[in-house]
Amino acid sequence: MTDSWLPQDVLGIASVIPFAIGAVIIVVGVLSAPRRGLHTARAFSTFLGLGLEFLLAAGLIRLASQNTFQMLGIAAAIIAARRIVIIGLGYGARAEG
Amino acid sequence: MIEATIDITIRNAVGDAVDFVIPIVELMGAAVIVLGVAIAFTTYVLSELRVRPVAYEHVRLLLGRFLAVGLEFQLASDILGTAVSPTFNEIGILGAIAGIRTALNYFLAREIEKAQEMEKKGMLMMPGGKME
Repeated sequence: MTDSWLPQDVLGIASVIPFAIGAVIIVVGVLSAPRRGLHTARAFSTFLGLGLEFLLAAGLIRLASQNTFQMLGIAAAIIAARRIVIIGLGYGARAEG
Repeated sequence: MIEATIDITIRNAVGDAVDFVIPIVELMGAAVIVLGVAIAFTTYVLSELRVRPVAYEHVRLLLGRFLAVGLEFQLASDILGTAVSPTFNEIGILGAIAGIRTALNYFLAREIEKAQEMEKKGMLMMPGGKME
């Protein structure tokens, strides 16, 4: 299953781009939240959710090139993290009314 | 004897054809995800620059839909794989991967529904910090 003729290098590079975008969104979003007058906790979960979506995209692209249980585990862990962030976002929104 | 030979030849031909198609389907899935990343990132940048402001959840939903479609393609390639896998061991591995991918797809769909509910209630955050 891993001996496919898919261009591994191309997919590897393609997976780095969404990974970098996700990391930048999380860091820039959270650091700039107080300056922009956003509620820090709410902004943190919003940007974390958006950033994790890009990280998941990176995981799924890597999954296409390396069809292994380890890659599936990484994608599943990101899905679980996103789920926790979304639950936190719901609680935060309710607390703020 | 001749019938058996023809049967084996057809099976081999079908097996080769499916083996050739599986990576193409996986590549299609990856291409859909890459396209989704490009569109979502462009939307995010345009929103941050206030050229076309949208809620952050809109960007998440947009990318989430592309991820769900890409995941469907990857699942399709796994299903094709089960059609040609000759041993129970390989079918077992493929089944486990397809099961985990189906679970990932299910949670992704639920998150999209949840975000749509939040969108209807106007609980989404815009770039300026305002609620939509």
